[in-house]
Amino acid sequence: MNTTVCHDIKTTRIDASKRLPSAFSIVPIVFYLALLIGGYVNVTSYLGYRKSTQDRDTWKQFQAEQQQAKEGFDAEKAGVFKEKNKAEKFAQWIEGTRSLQPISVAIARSLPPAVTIGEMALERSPEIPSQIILTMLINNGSLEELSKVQQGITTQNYRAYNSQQSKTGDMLEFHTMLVWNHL
Amino acid sequence: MNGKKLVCIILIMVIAAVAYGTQLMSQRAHAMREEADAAESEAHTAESEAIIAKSNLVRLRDDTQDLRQFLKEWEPAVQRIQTQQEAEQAVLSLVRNSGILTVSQRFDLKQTAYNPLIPRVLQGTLTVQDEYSKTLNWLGELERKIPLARITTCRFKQGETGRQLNLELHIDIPLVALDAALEGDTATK
Repeated sequence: MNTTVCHDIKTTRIDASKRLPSAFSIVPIVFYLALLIGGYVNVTSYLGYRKSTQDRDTWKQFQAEQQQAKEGFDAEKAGVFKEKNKAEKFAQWIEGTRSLQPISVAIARSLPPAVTIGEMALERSPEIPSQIILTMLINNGSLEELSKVQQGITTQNYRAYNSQQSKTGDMLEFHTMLVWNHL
Repeated sequence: MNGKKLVCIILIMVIAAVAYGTQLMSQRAHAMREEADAAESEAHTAESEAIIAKSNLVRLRDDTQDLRQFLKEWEPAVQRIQTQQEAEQAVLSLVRNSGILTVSQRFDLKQTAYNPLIPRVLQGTLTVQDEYSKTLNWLGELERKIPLARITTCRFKQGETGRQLNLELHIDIPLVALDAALEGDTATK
């Protein structure tokens, strides 16, 4: 007869561990779920991260292109502005270079042969060079001749302004400011 | 602690590590998304600024077209007279070619302060005397051939004979510096 006790259910087995609490049975389930969900979330996050990186780089490049274009426009604008400034300054000068010869001829032609010009001076105003100060001495002249002179001036697109005349004997002195009529 | 407990703890640690890693990855993806959105927003702002700059340029170009064209048309005349010698030569050759009688002539180079585009002006004083029509024609020719010249004073008197006209001219010929830097050139806004 075999005397070895194979199954002793009454005696406490000191070499076997205790059962884990039943709540611990969900640990493997949670582990696999965590692997699945974590894997999914990580993959989608990584793909999102890559796409965002590409988007960011694309927008950065686009921004750089736009900034470069803006700088180009600003530089061109500065050039145009500079040119405009020069043209304005130049126009100021040119405004005072209108020919005096046609006025002289028009005045001379407006007078009848019996009336002569003793002296005539056309001087540009130092402040506004486009305005001309006309001074003339007319021999045997009258107001009628002055009116003809003013008509002659008008044909040259000038307007006589602040006219003054004085008569001494046969000599009539006429003084006026000629202002250009802007077209 | 027995082996089962140890395995459980390891599994829980792995779960925690996975959760932490996932959260970290998610945060990085989110941060990068925000960065991309910010870059998009900045790019749109830069695009708007570029469009505004372009429209400003086009408007300035259109507004100043006539003025700039005016300067362009005058450039050949400006280039012809750049030095004192060229300016004097222009006047003297007109006097010489017309054969008009010159009573006196004097030229002085003056610096100007009022217009940086015209830093120097050749001031000439000429007195000529000849037949009435010839003298007036010469004056017209002078004004036509040197269009930049500004006659500041033009005094007519009777000449020595009845047919003669004495003409005293004060003339300013500018030596234009087209490459001069003007005030306000940088004020582009």
